[in-house]
Amino acid sequence: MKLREYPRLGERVYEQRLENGLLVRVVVKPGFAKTYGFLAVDYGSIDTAFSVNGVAYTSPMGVAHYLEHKMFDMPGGGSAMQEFSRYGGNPNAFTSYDITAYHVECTDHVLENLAILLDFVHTPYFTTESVEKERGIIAQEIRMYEDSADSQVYETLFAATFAHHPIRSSIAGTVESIGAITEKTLYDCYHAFYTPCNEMFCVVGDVDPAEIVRLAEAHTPATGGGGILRDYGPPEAMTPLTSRVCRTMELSMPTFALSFKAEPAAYGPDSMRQELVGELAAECLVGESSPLYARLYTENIIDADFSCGYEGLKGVAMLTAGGDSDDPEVVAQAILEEAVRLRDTGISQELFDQLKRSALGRRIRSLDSFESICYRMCAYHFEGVNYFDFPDVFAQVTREEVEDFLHRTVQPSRMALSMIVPKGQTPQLLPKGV
Amino acid sequence: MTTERIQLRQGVWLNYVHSDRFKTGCFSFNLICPLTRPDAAPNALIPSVLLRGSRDYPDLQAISRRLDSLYGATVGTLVRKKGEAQVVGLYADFLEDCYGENQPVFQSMMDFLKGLLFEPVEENGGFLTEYLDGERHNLENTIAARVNEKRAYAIHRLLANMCVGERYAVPRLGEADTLAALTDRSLLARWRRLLAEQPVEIFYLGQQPREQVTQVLERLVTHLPDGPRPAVEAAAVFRPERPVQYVDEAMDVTQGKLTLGLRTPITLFDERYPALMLLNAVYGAGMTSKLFLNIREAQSLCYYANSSVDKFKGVMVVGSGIAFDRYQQALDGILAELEACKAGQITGEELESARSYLLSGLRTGQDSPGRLDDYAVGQAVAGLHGTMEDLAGKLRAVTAEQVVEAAKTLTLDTVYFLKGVDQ
Repeated sequence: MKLREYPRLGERVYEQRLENGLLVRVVVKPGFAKTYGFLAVDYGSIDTAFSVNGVAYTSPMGVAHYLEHKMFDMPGGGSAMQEFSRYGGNPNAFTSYDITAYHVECTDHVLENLAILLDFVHTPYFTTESVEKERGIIAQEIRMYEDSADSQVYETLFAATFAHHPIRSSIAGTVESIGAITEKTLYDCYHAFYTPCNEMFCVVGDVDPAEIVRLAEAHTPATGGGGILRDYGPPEAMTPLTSRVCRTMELSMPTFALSFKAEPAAYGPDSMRQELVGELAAECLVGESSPLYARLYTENIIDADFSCGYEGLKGVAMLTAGGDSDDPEVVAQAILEEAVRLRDTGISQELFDQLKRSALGRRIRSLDSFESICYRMCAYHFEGVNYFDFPDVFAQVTREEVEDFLHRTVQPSRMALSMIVPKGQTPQLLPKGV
Repeated sequence: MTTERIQLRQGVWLNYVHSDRFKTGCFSFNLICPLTRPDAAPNALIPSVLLRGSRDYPDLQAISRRLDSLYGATVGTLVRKKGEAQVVGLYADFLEDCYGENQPVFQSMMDFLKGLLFEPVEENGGFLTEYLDGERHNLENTIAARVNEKRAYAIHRLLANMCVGERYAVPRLGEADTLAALTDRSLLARWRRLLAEQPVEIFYLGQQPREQVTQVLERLVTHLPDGPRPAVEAAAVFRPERPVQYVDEAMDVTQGKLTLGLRTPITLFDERYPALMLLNAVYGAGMTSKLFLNIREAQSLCYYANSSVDKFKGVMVVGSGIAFDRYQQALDGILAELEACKAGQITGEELESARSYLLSGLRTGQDSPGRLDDYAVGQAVAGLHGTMEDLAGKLRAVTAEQVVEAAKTLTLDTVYFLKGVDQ
C-alpha cells in the first residue's frame, strides 16, 4: 500500500490498486465519529453512445440515473436500504453528467456498512416489474426539476451552447426518453460500465487503511472488465448552437445563465490546470472581488445569488455565469465590455495574487467535507489527475495564462444566454442597448 | 472536542467548542429577537446592510478583497427562525492559523467582524442610504422569490393558512410591505436597539485555546451596551378546536405539492419529546420511514414524501410531490400511515432503524461545525442546556409504547394542495 503525505494540507492518503483493477484510496481522519464510504463509477448521463469489446451501443437519455435508482434493489425483493438501516448507515447516491456515485455515512459497524455498499453496487438485479414500477417515481422526479427554474435555466443553456455533445440532455432524461428503458438496457449498461477498472472506492474517516483494502478485495468482483470507447459526437465548434434562448415560468423575477465556450482540456494533469485557470479567469472577470461585480451589485443589476465559474467535462468546457436579474442582457453586455477592458489594461498582479491565495485557502478548507474529498478525488482521478496535487498546480498558474484564456474565451461569438422570465413578461430575444 | 458555555456579560454568552480536527474555524454572532410580522423583515435586512461596508472596509470590493487576503475567508448573513423567535446576525468561516503560511487569520477576522458589527458606514446618523436601498431591493426580491421553489413555497402557504393569528405564521424573512417605511436613520436606530436589548449568543469552534478566544471576545463585546437582556419566548403551543381545513391553490406547475400540517402539544420542553422525534423518524424521516417505503417505494405515488417536526412549536409538516390526479390516493395513504402508527402497527425493525437513523445523525452532528452551531443556538433560544449527546441518551430509552402515545397526540389541522392551473 502506498502512503502519500501532504503536510501542507494536513492529510495522509493511502492508496492501493487491487488485482482486479479497482483503485482504493483511504484518507485517515483521526478523531472523527463518522466514516464516509464512496464508490464512484466513471459513468454519467453523457455516456449514452459507447462500445465495449467491439460491440457498439446507443442508449436512451437517462439510463445512468435510472440505473442508480434500481441498483438498490436486491434479489429476493429487498432493498439495500434495509441492509444499511440494520447497521445505522445513511446511504445515498447521485448521478451527474459524468459520474455515478453511491455513498454511505456511518458511525458504527463501519466495515459492515462499507461491505453492503460494495456488495449492492456489484449485485445487479432488475426485473420487468421493478423497472416498470420505478418509471413513475423517476417521472415525478423529472417533473420536479421541470418546475425548478434553477435547473431549467442551466439545462436550457447547455442545450443552446452545444450542438452535438450529450450534455445537451438533462441528467435524468425526459419522461419520453425513460419510456424506452427496459431491464435489458439496464443490464447492458451495467455490464459495460460497472467494472472495477472503471470505478474508484474512497473511504474517509478514523479507519485502518489495511482493513479497508482487505474488505474491498473480498467484496468486489474478481475480474476488472474491458476497455470502453466513449462517443460524444463530433468536436464542438467554438460558437454556440443558439446564442439566445428565453422561456417563461411561474417566477418572481427573471433568472439567467450564460456561457462562453472554451476548448476542452486534454486528459491528464492539464485538465486540473485548465480548471484553475478558468476559475481564476471567471473571478478576475466578474467574481465578488472584481470591479465589475461591485458595479453591477451596487447598481442593483445582480444580487448576492450571482455566481460565475468554469465547467469542464469530457469533450466540453465553458465559462459560466448566472443569477437573477431584471435585465440579463445588460449583465451579458457588461461582461463582454469588461473582457475588452481587461485585454487593454491587463489583470492587476495584486488582485491576481490575492485571488489565487483566496482560491487556495477555500480549497484547503473544503477538505473538511468528507463528501467533497471523495467526490473530487474520484472526479479528478477519472480525468487522470491526483486531486491532492492542487497546491502545486496553483503555484504554477500565471497571470499571463489567465489573461490569455480570458481573451480567447470571452468573445461575443462564443456566448450563449439562457433566460427564464416570469409569465406575462415578453421574452427579449434580441440584445438591446448594444 | 470540548464544549463550554461561558457568560461574557449579562445576557451575552459564548458557546466555545475546542476542536483541532478541522481546517476551518467557525464563528457566529446572533441576536435573539421575537418573531413578529412588523419586525421580522426589518430585522432580517440589517445583516445584509452591515455586509455592505464598515469604517475600515467601506464598500463591497474592499470587503471581498480583505476576505481574499485572509485566504478566502467567508462572512455571511444569518437569519434563522426558531419556533416564534427570529435569530439574526453574521457568521464567519476562515482558515485555521496553522494552514496560513505564518499569517494568523483568527485575530484579523475578529477585528474585521468587529468593524462590520459595530462600525457601519454612517451618514447623517443613519446607514448609508445607497446601502439601505440596495439591500431593501434585494430582500424584497428574495421574499418575492419564495414562489420560485415550489416545495418550500407549498410549506410556506400551508403555515400561512394554518397559523393565522399566530406569530409562527410569520416567515423567516418577514413580509416585504414592512420594509417600505424604513429610513437609513430608523434602521440604524433599530440595530443599536437590538444590540442593546436582545440576548446575544456567540459561537466559536476551532483550534484557538479558551483563554485566547475569551480574551478576544471580551474585548469585542465591550462594544455592546450593558443592561438586562430579557429572554425571548421560543413559541406558544396552540391547538384550535375546529374541523380540518382544506386549501387548494393553482399555479402553472407540472407537479402537485400535497402538504399537511398537524399539531401536537409536545415540544422540546416536554419529557415526551424524544418519543415524538422517534415517531417522526418512523413515520416520515429518512429512507426507512413508512412514508418513504410505503408511499414512495411500494405505491410509487410520489418522488418524495417526508415529515418534519418543529421542536419549538409542536407542529408537524408532511410534504410530498405528486401527480395531480393522485391527490386523494396520496392523502389517504399519508394519513393511513399515521393511523397505523397510532394503532401501534410499528415493527421492531422499523423502530430500531428509525432509532439508529437518529442516533447516527446526532453522532455525525458532532463532526459538523454548522450543526453544532445551530443546535447550540436552538438550545439557547429554548433556555435549555442539554447537548446532542444528552438527547441521544434519552432516545435510547424510548419504548415502542411511548412512540405510539406520541403519535396519538397528533391531530390533522390543515391540508394544502398546490395544483396546476387546469386542474
